[in-house]
Amino acid sequence: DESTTIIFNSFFPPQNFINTKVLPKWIREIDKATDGRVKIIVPPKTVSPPQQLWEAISTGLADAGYLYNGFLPSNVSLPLIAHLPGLTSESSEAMSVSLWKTYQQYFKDANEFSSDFELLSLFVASPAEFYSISDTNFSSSEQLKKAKIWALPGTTASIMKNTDISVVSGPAAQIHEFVSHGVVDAFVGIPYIDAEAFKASNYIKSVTNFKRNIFAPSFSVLISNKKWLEISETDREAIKNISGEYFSHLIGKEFDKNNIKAKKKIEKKGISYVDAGDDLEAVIKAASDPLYFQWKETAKAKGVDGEAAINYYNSNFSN
Amino acid sequence: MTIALVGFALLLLLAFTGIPLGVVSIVVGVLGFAYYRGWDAAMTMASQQFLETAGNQSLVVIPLFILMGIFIWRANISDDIYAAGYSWFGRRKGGVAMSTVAASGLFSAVCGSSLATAATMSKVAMPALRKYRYSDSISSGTIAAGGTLGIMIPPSVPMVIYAIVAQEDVGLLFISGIVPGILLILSFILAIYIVATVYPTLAPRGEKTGWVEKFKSLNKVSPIIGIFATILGGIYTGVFTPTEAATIGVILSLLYSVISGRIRSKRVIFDCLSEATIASASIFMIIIGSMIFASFINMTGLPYDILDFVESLELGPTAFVIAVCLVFTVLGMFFETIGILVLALPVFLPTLYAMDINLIWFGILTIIVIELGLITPPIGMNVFVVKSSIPDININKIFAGVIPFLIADLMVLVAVFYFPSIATLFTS
Amino acid sequence: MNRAERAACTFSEYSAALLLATISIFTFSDVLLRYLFSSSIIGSNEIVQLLMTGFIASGIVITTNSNKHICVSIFEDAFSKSIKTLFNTFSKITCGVVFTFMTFAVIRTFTSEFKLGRSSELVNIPYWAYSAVVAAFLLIITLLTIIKIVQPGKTK
Ligand code: NA
Ligand code: NA
Repeated sequence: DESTTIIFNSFFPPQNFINTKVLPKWIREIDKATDGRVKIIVPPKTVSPPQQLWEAISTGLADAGYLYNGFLPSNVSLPLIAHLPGLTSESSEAMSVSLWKTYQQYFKDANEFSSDFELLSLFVASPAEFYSISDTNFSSSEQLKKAKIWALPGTTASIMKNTDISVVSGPAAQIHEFVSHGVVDAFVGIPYIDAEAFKASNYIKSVTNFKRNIFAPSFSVLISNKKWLEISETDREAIKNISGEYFSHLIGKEFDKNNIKAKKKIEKKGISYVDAGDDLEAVIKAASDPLYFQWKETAKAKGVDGEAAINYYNSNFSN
Repeated sequence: MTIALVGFALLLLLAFTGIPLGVVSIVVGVLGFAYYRGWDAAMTMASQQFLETAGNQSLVVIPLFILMGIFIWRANISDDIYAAGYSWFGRRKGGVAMSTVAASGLFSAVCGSSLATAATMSKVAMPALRKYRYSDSISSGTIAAGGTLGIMIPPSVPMVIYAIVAQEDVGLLFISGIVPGILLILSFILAIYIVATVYPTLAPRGEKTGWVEKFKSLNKVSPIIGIFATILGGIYTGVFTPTEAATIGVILSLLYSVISGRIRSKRVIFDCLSEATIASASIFMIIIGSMIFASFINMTGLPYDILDFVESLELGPTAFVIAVCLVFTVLGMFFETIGILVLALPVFLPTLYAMDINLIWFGILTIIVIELGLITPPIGMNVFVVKSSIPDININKIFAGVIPFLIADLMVLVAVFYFPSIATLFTS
Repeated sequence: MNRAERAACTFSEYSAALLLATISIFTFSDVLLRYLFSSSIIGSNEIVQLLMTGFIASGIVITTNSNKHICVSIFEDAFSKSIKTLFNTFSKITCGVVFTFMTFAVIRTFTSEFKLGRSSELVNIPYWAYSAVVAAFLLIITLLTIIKIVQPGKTK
């Protein structure tokens, strides 16, 4: 039997636990499960800008990789259920597993990834927080309206825009520019891990706790169908067994572990917590409603009961 | 590993036939990538890298800083800069050359490129150096070496690119360059002093200037110092981001040139914009080409091979940094600055990360090493610039004149290596 | 240079100058707005990205047309005249091939982005707009380069 080599793209920085822990472990397990017939190689750096990975994998720059669901083509919209505001849990593992289950139960038949890709797994990263870098502890909508805020593009920026406040936005990797230079009073949309990784954590003075975190970023693990079909059926089954829900657990656990680690590290620098007041929760909720409506409409057009899918996705991690 | 090395060799070989460097890098990068992943993939990769680089947010500072430099240059302030240097150093042993170094340092504060600094100083300083009968070798060597200050003293194009490749903060890197930059100026001046003491006839004294004159000349360059202080102060205190600082630099330098009556027509402004366009686009062409070539190197797995190799040798961080500096020095002899940063730096990054090396400090070391490359044979870009501005000088004479400065450069390199706080004092 | 060529160059030159001026003024206004009025231009980074893309692409047209690309030319003096001519022709043809290739590559990205129908997050600039701008200027460069190869005598 000939062996197959898969180029698996990873766009997180080399020191990230996905590259140092999760992928090496998963690759070893696949190697074992296929008796060495399927080899996975992760290039030292991403083969393509994260926004362009869909095209990169479909034209063969890499064979597989994880894609940020916010960058999928506009016709792949069902996995974006995970990006709905407030539909979050503290646990990445719980959300990741729930997203995979929801996909299997509700989205699979819509066949959004068409014939170009095979979906290997889904995962949701740790949820985003609201960080103040000014002396204001944000707890009311009045405070929010007076502030300049950096928001992650996508859900978070849309909500902030809907609340009519002064928003700046841009790639998360550039957040340090805004935060370190005091350009903004607060930033929202990234988890503790990223606040640490993008060197924004030194500037945090307080964190606003909402009843549920505003947002959590989600990812699809995809392989091009062309490569997938090069693999024998037995090996495909073997890979499927250690992908899917198994992978969601594997990576989700690491997210949880690392997010707690990052949170503790940031706490050591001396930050305070403040609870969002009812009016602030209400303003965010009102700004979120259009996004729910929009997603449900899209789901409906694809023959998916959006309301039911949301309830199911939520039921797996809320208690 | 073999294929990667073949790629580098092919790149060098084709470059020597005179094909633009950016174009050569695209050719080899696309061919190499296609070898691994097929034409379809190579085509997508080339297109994505082009679009990504041309629209890169972090690179916006490059055309802005270039435009700022051109406005200032058009305002004919380089003569004032030279006069200021001369009034303070001219009377000393080797004073006219010292003035050139001081003026280069001052000009570097508003110019991000060493080639532009060298080219400007060739025009401004050479007539004075010849008037006082400095040997051509010392004169041109001083100008070529002085030009290298352009990339150590912020703003600096290579620092912007280093920051992007290494994912470091460009503002921090700028701030970290100030002290080593001043150290370089002082060591260059010391080098001239020693040469002038040993061979007094080669580097005579200039004329005496009075205190009134000294301060008058400083007053004339105060706008430059003001703009520099605003930009760097703004970045350091966190009031501006580097991009904002660059924009403010553009507006301030334009205002200064217009108010001082040195830019008088829209036509001149248009010419400045066009000049900045060509300077920026030719740099971007190299960055784009290098990005495409780097995508090919990424596929060869060379960075991992190097990590494995270094681990198998059990090199410690110190030995590894020395080794990389040596490699960069050798590359610097043949390649140009940006190519080294985009092509060679990523190859060592996994190992640098694994060893937890301070990348701001390492960035300053890299810039010094690259400066060495700019003035060493066979390809010393700064030497060529001086040669093309002053065609009647033999190129070997320039390389000879550069030797004292090479030694000075090495001293600073060793100093920053042993005392990292020279680079990280204000940023840690 | 015939009229069409000159028109293409002038167009690129004016585009580049205009774009660079716009980038400067736009970023400066953004800074002013933020510090003086605590507000900012929504999606300014996406707009600057589009302006930059156009600026660099049009800049490469001018740079190519005026032979201002960065080259290694040290050995030029060491070559005989015939070798120099040979290398020169080789260089021009290589540039022609590379720019043709890049034009096709970017047009392909444009087509695929057009089909994918994605747009930037904040001000909804369609992603195909970026590749369309680059493809247009690359096409100009390619045509100018090919004309230079076919009619080597006629330089400005
Ligand atoms: Na400089
Ligand atoms: Na050199």
